[in-house]
Amino acid sequence: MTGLFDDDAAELIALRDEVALLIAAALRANAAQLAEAERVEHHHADQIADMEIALTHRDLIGQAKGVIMATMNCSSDEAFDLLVKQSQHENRKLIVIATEIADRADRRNRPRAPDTSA
Amino acid sequence: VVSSKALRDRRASSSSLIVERRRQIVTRVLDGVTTEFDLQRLCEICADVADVGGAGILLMSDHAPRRSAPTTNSVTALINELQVGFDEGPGADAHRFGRDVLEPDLDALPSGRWSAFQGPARDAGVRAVFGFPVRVGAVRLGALSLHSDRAGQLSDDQRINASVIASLAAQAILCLEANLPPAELAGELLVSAAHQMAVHQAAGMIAVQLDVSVGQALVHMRAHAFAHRRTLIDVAQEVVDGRLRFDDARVGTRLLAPLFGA
Repeated sequence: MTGLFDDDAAELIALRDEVALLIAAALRANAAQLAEAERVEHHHADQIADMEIALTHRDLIGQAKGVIMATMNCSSDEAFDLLVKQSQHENRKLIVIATEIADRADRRNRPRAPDTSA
Repeated sequence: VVSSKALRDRRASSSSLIVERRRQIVTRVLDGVTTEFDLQRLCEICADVADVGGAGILLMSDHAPRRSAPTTNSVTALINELQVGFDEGPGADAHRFGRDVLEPDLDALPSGRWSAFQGPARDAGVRAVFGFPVRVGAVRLGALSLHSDRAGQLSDDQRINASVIASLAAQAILCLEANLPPAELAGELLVSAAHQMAVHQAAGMIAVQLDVSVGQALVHMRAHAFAHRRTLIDVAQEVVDGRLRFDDARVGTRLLAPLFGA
């Protein structure tokens, strides 16, 4: 599986939220050392779900980077810098900004919703 | 105290578990891919590996009316119809919120939750339902719904298997939209193109070049790779490197219908 976790810098920030989740999960696990095995098992399932979300977020950020690269005619790194700056400027999560950018191409091309105002 | 190394190890172990499970399920899926492969077959394998009563896939593109895709049996078909009709249920919610929806006991739903869905599903003998988003990054294609005639939570294994199947279903839907033969899907699954960064960056770039959605770009890229006997990853890398543009007339990619043929 080469390439799954390349682009470390991008991943680091992209997974900021997920790392926070995992830290919380790890702290829960520490606190629950005396808990029964079943609880630990369940915690493991949550961790897997977190990982799936992390992979989806990573793909999503890649898509947003591609939209920026083609629109601004810039490199992958520059596209990512723009995402980070925009996130800081608007004080919103990077993944939210990335979702809006990846969806923007979608919305522009989408058939107009039926006019229900009449 | 949690060290960052411990966190990295944890993450590495989760991701390698997903990768390994994916490999196992892909092998199983590919056993059935020789001549015929469609979402129906994927649902059957899903119901089998997730060990539930039935599995169904909802196609919920923003471009087309929602519709029920294949299902494993009449109860699954009913579950899907209710979800399409009322926009309620595990798949509808998984699609809407972009996360797993686990309802291990339909009789214990908070009042008002799924008020149109609950009665008919319960009458059909369904006790537990589970929904998983079917998506590729920002591209939300629909959801996978599972149901059981017994109340009870999914085990870790069942949940992981369902997540993996939902991810495979996303790839299968894109390949079917590109009109690729089953062998192409098999090839894509074998080389694990799903989470390659280049594929997603290229999709974003092609979306701008062709003025289409990222989802449609993913379909175009697959059709192009097939027509030129290239792998998806090779085509993606060329796009990212700027050696291939989809708005170049010489590419000659035939224009495809929007996702789900809207």
